[in-house]
Amino acid sequence: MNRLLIANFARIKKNKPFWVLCGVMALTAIVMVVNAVSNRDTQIDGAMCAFAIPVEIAAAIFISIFFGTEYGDGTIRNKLIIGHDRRQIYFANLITAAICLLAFAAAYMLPVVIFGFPLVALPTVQAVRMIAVGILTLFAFCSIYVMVSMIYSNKAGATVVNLVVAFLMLFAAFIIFARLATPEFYPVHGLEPGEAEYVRNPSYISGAKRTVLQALLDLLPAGQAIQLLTGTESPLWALPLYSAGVCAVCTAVGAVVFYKKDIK
Amino acid sequence: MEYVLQTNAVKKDYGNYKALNGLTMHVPKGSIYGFIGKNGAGKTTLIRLVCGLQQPTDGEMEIYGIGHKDRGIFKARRRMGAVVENPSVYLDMTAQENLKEQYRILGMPSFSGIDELLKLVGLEDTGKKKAKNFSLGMRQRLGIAVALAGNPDFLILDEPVNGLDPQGIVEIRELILKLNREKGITVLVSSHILDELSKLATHFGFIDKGKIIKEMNASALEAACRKCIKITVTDTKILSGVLDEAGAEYSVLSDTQAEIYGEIEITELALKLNARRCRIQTITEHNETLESFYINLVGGER
Repeated sequence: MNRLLIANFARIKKNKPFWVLCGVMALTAIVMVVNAVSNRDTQIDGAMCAFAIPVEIAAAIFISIFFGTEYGDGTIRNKLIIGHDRRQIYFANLITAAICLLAFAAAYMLPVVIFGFPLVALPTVQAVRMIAVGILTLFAFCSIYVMVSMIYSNKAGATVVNLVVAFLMLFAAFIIFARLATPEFYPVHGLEPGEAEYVRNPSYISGAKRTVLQALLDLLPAGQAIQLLTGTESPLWALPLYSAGVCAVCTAVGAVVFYKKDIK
Repeated sequence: MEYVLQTNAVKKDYGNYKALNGLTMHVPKGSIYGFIGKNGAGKTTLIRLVCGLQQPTDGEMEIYGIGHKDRGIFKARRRMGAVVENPSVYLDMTAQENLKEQYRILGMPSFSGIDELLKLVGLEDTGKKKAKNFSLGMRQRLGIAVALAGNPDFLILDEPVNGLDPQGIVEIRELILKLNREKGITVLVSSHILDELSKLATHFGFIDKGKIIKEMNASALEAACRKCIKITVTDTKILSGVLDEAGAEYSVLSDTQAEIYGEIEITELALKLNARRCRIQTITEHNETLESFYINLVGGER
């Protein structure tokens, strides 16, 4: 597998989309820092913890293009013809993709560290914890996109599917988050100035439905990415467990299907 | 005889369609095996199975004596190189970068053989030109160079002259012959351009409807396809006497028809037959090409 990893990284070194996306990550971070400075924020945590969402989109594009090229140019056959095991090819690609996502995250963090820390503030301990959890969220995204790219041999098709999955996950996570964020009580102002009465919000989700929606939000990597920004109702240690579950299921499905796949 | 590749009753189904239907073939070591069949006969499907791109539905396949289900098959495949359909090269890389990438995949300790490989396939002067800007023939040659990167003993080329101009066809043919003669590489080359294959193959396998219908070596095929004169006379006994005297090779087909092989002086033959009161009724040159031989084999119309 080392040989496959070395070959993949040699390709990445000269891969234009990879470097362009690293640049886009750095630019996004600069915009976030400028925004924090102009808003006179006292914390850098928000700008820091937002990294998972841009990396999610960049990963969908990069993984589809990078591994889609292997199918498009037919070079995946070179690996199989000379006797590389399919499982090794799959795992080498998964590791390569995971390291590239870490590079995207690093490209995002670098301007935050260089400009955000001196201009805004140092991060809190909780923000550092969130980032550690966010790294595992990135691996969950990675396992989903690699699964799609290795199963679907059409480069353009895999890119479309991965982008649709990325945006659908974000969209679904935002809807679930918005519903869960509905307050339990809302104030009704009385006749006298300053007089307010709190009444129960009929839209508030409680009980089993709330537990299910919260679990769904925790399970969706995009849901985790949003919660890194806004804070989570679930204990922080639960999110990595959900990420590990997503990684395990997607990798198992992807590896098994790829193992049996007829390659042309 | 030692075989590099043997298949036994190999089947491959795509849904209800049977691409291979009990294919049995033998590729001898050191040969150039011409794999002949029309489009859709199953040539590429078999090559995909041999290369491990797909798994057979049923049957056995051995590469260097190792079965396709054995763990050792991965090691056996390291001795192989192949160009399946289109050349497998990174289009956004130069010829040298493509070879370096293949060297890394193979785990070669250095890039020392790359210049030699590029020279062998005639791409030593491509410099920084990317493979996407190569002509079809150049890409085909780069594909072969990539396939040769691991110094394979067994090279599989699927329709290597497809879409090439006459110059490109000659270059690929010469390259295959050079690899076989100078490096002792066994080559399995598939094509539906039969006359082209007849110029280089030492062994032939004819495939139709997913089955090998005939395997033979080049001399057997040459005998089957050789040039002859078909002659109709009033009496083949007299003709036989004349031909025996001339030392010609022939076969009598009936009381009035015979086939004469090799070169013969027609005027002299006619004079001798006339002297013995045997008249020539018709005389035609019969030259069965590989193409007509194949069409006869598969039962098509000529």
